[in-house]
Amino acid sequence: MFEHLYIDRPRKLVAFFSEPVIFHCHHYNLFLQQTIEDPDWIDGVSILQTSAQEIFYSLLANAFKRLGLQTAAERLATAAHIFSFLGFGRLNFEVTEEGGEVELTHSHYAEGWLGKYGEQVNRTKPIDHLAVGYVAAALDATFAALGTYVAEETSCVAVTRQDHCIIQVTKAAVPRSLTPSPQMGKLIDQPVPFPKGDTSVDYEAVNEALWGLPLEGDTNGQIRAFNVLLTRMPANYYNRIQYRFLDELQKVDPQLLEVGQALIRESGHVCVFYTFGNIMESLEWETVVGPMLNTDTDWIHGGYAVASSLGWGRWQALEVVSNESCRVAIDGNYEANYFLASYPPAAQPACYFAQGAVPAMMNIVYNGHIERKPVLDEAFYNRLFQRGGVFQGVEVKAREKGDPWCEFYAQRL
Amino acid sequence: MVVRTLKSVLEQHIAGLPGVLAVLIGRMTDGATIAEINYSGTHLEKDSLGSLAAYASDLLRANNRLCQVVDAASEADYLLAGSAEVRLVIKAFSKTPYFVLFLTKGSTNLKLVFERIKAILADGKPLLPPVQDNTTSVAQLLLSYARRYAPDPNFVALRLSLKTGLHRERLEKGQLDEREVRILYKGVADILGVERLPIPLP
Amino acid sequence: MPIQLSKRRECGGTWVVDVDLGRSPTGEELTTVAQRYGGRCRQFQQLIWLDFPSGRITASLRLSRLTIRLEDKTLEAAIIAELQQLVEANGPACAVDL
Repeated sequence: MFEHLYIDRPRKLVAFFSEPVIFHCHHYNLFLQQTIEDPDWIDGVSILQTSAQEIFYSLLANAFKRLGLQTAAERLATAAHIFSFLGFGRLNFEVTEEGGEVELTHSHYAEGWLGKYGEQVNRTKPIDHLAVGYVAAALDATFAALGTYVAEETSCVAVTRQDHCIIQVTKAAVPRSLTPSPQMGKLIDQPVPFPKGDTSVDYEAVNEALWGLPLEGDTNGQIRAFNVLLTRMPANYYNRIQYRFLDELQKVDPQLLEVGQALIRESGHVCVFYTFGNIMESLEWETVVGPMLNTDTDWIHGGYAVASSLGWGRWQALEVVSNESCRVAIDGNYEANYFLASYPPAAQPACYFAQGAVPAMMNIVYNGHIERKPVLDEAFYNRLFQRGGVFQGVEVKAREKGDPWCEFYAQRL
Repeated sequence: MVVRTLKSVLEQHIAGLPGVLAVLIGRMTDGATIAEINYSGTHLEKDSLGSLAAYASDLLRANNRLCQVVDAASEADYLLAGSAEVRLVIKAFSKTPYFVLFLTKGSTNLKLVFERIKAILADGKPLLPPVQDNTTSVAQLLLSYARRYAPDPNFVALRLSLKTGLHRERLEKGQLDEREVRILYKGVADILGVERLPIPLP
Repeated sequence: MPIQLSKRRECGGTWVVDVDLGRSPTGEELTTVAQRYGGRCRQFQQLIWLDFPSGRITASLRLSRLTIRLEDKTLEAAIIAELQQLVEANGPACAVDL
């Protein structure tokens, strides 16, 4: 499948069958999903499943077309292969045009949840909303058109703690009118020539080294690299669930919109803390970035050099003041690309993930002292907040509002 | 004349006992710390000591229920917990919601600890504050319980606000009516994946 | 210098073994290990992946540390023994402390 990944080097984006794809770890995936499925007063599960169906339909329909796949067997086999390639686990389709049953093993979400929370709390409801949407999308793209099928997870490993999940798929009584992906979204025309920060980190060299790694699902359909459990997710899945969720909050209870925004920012914080914390303790980091690290501020630059290798767009630290503050530009952020293709210009900055991610990078280096290789567990994360002095961030320039690029500033509270 | 306080009682009765890390008097109903002495230096931060009383309260409540399952007429006596390195001894002031907690090194002589506890129970009981109803609202107890047992405790209030539709400020202040407390109860139980919580609804 | 082993529970719940060889391995040494146990050795600049049906070993030409992520524990033990011999051949006897 690697031959179908296209790296847009100037914009630092990665496309897979015309969909932007980005790396994120299970900490982020779980926290974001939990935020959306939590409220009992909106249908968060439907947002998650429907968005997955829409975005993966676009990806799979493009894949089937480009690969010239004609038969249902070829298409379903490819859908299962892509699912594993992206790191979501393994799907085994036992279906006809009328629907059927799909077995899911090594689910990223279910196994990730058990690994992260399973010893602490029980789960009573299925967790594989992405896989449910994916299965419906696979049948839509194989047999019919977007919105033809509906799926439901009837048995989930996160609940049963058995070895596989079951997803049932049938034709919807009435086909649903769903919205396909905006694909690459509103791209930047020309990369902005940002000044190179005061650092010995060579962003482009890090990009090339990481882009050259063939990161794909293993025989279990899981991507284990940089000490974390990764997925190569269509960026528009994150974008769609995030913005649709906030739209729904705005509609039902605008007073809780800020709470939703704060939790999405926190998902960005969780992501950077765990993903980058683990990356910075990994052998890959030591090998690729380690030789470029001379000062503490280089760790921040190194983090953004890696971030800009993950398909997130052109992330660049413009200025890092040791232990005090940082200013980070993102030119062609994946959130803004989607937002501008889907909404009118924003009234307020809307790159919520990045708003949480930028202060998190300072927190992991200056409060977490990642260079000492701490154990990155929940207790460590909680202590970090309890001690105070955490970095907070603000989006000071927003492309989604009309600025030429997005810019973030983080400093201690 | 020297005024005796719970803290001075604790100081008097732990003097000379080797391996003591912390001693406190707590209240089971809300997990509050009434008096404390921390000898652990940097070992236990202020927040950790506070959470010690809260977790001890949970243990005592569980122990009370456990003892009542075995013998409905029995009164829970003491609790021993800990690890190879540290030992926790908890004993309730009889017929009150208050308890005394000793955190010691694993090597500390347990017999000596019980002797000191006995003295603290005797001298401390007249000094315990009167028990007031509704010191802490059920809503605050639920929130505090969620902070102790739910994942991501720093964000659990936000999460509960979003989950229940109850606004954060009212949630944190515990100013909820009975219907809202029931919603919060269900929210906490859902997050933990359990049907019942060890906190009675009003 | 003896090799040091440490088990670590990785993010996501799996257990991995970090091995400190005391010196950085050579590409030839890693290729030999991979071939002997039916694996494939791939090099990305200084980073080396040894891929086996049951998982991956990540190594670096500039670090003495390598990380073993293998589901097959028999294979894991055999490769650790091989690494031990490799270092023994070029240095003092090894001590293993899991």
